Amino acid sequence: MHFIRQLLLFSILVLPSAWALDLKDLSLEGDLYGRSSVNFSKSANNIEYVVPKGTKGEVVESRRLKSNGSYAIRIRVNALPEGANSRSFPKIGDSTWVYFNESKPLITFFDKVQTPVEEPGEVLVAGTSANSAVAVSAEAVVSPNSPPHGELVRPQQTTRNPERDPNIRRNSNPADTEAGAACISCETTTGDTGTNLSDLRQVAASLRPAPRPDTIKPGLRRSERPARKPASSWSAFPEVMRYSNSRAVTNSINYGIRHYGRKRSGGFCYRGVKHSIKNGGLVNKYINSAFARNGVQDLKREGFINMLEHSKYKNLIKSPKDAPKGAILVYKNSSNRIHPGHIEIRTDWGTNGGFVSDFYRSANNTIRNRTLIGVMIKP
Amino acid sequence: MKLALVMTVICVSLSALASTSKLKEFTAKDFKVTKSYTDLEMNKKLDQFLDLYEETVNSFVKKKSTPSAEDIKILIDSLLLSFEGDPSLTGVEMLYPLYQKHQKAFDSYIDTLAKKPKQDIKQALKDIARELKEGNG
Repeated sequence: MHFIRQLLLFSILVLPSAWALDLKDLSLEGDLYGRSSVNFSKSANNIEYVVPKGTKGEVVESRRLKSNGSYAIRIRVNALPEGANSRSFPKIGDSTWVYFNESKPLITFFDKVQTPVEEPGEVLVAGTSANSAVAVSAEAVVSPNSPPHGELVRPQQTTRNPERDPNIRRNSNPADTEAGAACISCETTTGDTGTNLSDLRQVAASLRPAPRPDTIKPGLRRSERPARKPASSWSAFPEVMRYSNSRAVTNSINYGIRHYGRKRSGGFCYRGVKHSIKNGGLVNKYINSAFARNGVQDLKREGFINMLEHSKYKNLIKSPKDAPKGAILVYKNSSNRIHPGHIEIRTDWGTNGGFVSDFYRSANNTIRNRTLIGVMIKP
Repeated sequence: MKLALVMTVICVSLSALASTSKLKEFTAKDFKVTKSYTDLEMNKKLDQFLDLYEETVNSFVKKKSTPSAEDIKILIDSLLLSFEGDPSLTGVEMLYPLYQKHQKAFDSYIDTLAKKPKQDIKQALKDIARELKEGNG
């Protein structure tokens, strides 16, 4: 009696939902875009064709979208309305993703007995979970029940049978291995594992390719960049090293690369540098000056010094590449006196770093027609 | 005296002609860094290009007549190719004096270009003009 009651309860609760889960066919009540992927944004650029009103097909796959009551459904076209045979329409047998919204349904779903499903939402959600019994298609069969972990592990454990396991069959003593005598029952091993480990590390180090410094681009993660070492010549000047390693310099460089690290100049180099040093914390106010060549005077007013005017630094700077990290380089035009010149921040040491102003240029890119007039740091 | 002047004009014309034909040899690949073509190699090629470009533009500036439509086409097209590898747009700065001299001729060719290159070159020339007038750099 108790069993019959339970069976009745089961049939009331489970069976109707199981029948309802049986989404089989669908019919379109309006024109829909057929897309190649599950991205329904305007910028997706994945529209394959228009799936016209009256198209009949079957559900292949369904996914719930972020917005409430919205679903992405992959359909297979089985029948098209008359006249829908141009290139802009799908062919029979094509699979495509369409959008379905419960509040404005343009698709009618039918179950196995061809009766329309009133609330397909539940079924579509169930279609995404592994435990559902949705009959999606032969292409995407969902396993109704995954075996429990214990069941998966058990056969492996039971195969330690010499008749079935060839490894055990060959060697009667499980303590003997190819690498020597490894004691199973002992607490310490006699094998020299430390040497092997160091050997493996050496091999790994020799196989790892060294990054090429001339291919370093801004936007790389810190961990992806090679180790950066200052030029040995600058290590002797603690005030320069302190400036280069300061938080304000790092922030200014990062700000410059993030906001102005474009591929091409827009003719606003001084603006880029002024914003970077202000937001990085190297200066307290935005410098009101327009010509980049005036950068030397402007920065001196903010407490910077021109390294080219100090004999101890001057001999170390032969080209812009020799400037320390974070130095602000000021140029004038070599041939045109009225030209505003150029200004930029050195982003790193040696060939690792480039220069950033309102654009980024690598250290290998030579700047033409410009004379270096200032290498500014704030010691 | 007259002969010397004529000879100079002929020499300038010939050098301009030779340079434009050399500029045609550069391709988009020369200014694009790839795995096999490093940044260093590309910048060397860019330097070669800019040397040649400066020489060509200067020879046209010395000439009083307007450059032919074919020469303008080569000057603009090769400049557009170099945009990929030349972030500071040095080529545009070099071309600007010649552009100012024969603006109509250059604009008539620029207007025939596709939307993207047309926009790029117009913007670059506008930036140079603004830079010289208002500063920045």
